[in-house]
Amino acid sequence: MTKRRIADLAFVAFLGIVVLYVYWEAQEWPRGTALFPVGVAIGMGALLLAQALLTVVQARREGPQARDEPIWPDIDPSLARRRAVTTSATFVVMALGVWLLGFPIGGPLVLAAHLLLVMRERLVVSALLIVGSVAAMWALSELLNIPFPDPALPFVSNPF
Amino acid sequence: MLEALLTSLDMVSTPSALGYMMIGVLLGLVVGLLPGLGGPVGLAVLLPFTFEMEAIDAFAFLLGMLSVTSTASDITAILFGVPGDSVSAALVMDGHPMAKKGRVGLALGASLSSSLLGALIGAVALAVALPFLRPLVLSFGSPELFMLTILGVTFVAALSEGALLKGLIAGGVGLIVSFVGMDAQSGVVRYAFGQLSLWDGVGLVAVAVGLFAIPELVDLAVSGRSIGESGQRAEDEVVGDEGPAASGQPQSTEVAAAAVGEAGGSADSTTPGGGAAADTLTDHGDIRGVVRGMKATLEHWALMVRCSLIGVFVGIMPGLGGSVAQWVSYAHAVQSSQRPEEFGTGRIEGVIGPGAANNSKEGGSLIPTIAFGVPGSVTMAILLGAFLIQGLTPGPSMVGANLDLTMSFIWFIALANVVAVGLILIAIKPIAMTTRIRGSLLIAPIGLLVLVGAFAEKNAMIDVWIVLVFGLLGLVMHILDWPRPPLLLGLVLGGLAENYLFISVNRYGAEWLGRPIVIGIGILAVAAIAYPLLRGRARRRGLEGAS
Repeated sequence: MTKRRIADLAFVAFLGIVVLYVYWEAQEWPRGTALFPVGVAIGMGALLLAQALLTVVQARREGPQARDEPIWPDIDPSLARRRAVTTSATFVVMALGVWLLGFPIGGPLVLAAHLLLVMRERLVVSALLIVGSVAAMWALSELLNIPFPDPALPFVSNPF
Repeated sequence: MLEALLTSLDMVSTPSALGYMMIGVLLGLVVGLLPGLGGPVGLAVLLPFTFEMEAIDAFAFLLGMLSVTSTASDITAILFGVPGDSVSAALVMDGHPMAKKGRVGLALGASLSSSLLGALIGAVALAVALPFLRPLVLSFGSPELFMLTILGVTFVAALSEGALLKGLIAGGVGLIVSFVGMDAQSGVVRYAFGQLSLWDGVGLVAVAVGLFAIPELVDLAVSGRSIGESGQRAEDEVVGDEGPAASGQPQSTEVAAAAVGEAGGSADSTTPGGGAAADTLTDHGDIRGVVRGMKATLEHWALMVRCSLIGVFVGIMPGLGGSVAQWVSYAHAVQSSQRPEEFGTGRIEGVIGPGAANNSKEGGSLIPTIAFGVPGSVTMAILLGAFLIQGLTPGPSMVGANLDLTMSFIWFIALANVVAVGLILIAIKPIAMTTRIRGSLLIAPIGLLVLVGAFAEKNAMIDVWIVLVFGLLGLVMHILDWPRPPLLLGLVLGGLAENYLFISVNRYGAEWLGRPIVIGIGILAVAAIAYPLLRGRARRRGLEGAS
């Protein structure tokens, strides 16, 4: 079985766990409240089972000599994997940054770190983008009255 | 009616009304471009400024802003795969692949022209429908609205990109996500994990940008190129194998463009040598590409009109909203195409359909708001506040004593869209140039904008985490070739379907199943499922016969 088929099955199994949770949680609710979630969970269970069977049947038809097609055909797989992981990690760090330090400080700071340390962009271009992001944060806060939340870290405060 | 329309033109053409409309249009473009800040946020921010204004100026200002937000949010959906508002998510499906193949001008031209024409059709519908609408709206109760949501769910088949089972599962995941929050009937909080912010449910913007924008940004990073080049190589291979070179036709863009020009009015992207030839051209935002996109909209005028009418109808129906309009019209574009399997790779009909419906729905949703004081959406509820601020009572007086003012709304919607499209056309070159900027420079700023936009929808930090969760889910689905649009459709329709069914059963028992409109929509829903299956079978038989 190819890695892609295994990943497909793993995804189906993950969704199966979610559906089980949806069904189990709904058991404690009044009938009207639980009706839709239970109905959808049962239907989803049947669909997931069918999808799992279909994946297995397709894998058998392909035979043992089947090969995985690359996800990004033009790029070397290891490079593609590294870039995908780096970019995904950037979003996670960015979310942590805005949570811990607030949007006005955390956002531009993570942006600066990404541009200068990860992407190794030129200082002038990076500085322009960072200043632009600070200006955007100010405009969103002051002109559009978006109430940015206080940073989670107690010793940091919102500048706007 | 015609007299009132002409009289209202005098009211509209005062310098103050036009000035306020212009300011509104500019603000609407800014609000539309920023993810998360759609029409409701824009209206809520601008409403306090209208206290001291005359009624005509206030509505010029507010409608000027409201009418153009979806036009602007379509742009970011096409350029970056980041819908500026949840109502533009369907544009990511085919608009962004076109930008990735260097056909950004074609996509923007089609989007702008279909938005403009859709808005004009919506405005005309507003003018025409006001006197006749009462029976239609009154004939749609909860059972009929429930059946409409079921009809919407049947479009999952069209949005499944050839993988019906996976599409149905994705739609089911969307339904499950729609259960999160407080149940309106019993007050029971479902699947909120103790988070107060989730009592309201999961934000549509956070899910939409997570599901579509994050995988697109990862794709861009992996390609190591600009947006305009990231989809180019695969496209070059296709053209090399099957395109002009293989068929002995001219290869350069200029010569090929001339060939399309010769095809002229007969160019239809569903026929070889017409739009198909146009589709293989790259333009990088060139004005010729934009003009070709506009021509394509006119060539697909029937689709554009049908999708605009879908937008108007969905707008009229209380509670359905713009997110439903775009997906239903996208699904209709897929179903009515002779090449449904090519959707999702950059079909121009996938841009024209949702583009038209997004803007025409504004005219439609104004109809019940004005005529009955029934706001069909959050946006219209806020606009209703503007009526009250101005001392106006929505209802019969708006089509009686205040008919002139009502008619001025039609002019404002039409004029605002013309002005917005004009402004965007002036700036189209620099806008399109963003697709030629290195991906490494765009990813982090757009990522930050996505997080800010998700937060801004409900001012809740949890939406930032929701973006990450659905970003990961979207990435997995993208890598494993699972269709993502059904998930969004399930999320949009799930809550509506549950509420309408609950009200229908409590109010009518089982009798609602026998209502004529319910049966009619039921038949339509069965046809919507059966038609693609029968057509697919017929096509397979045709292929077998040919081989």
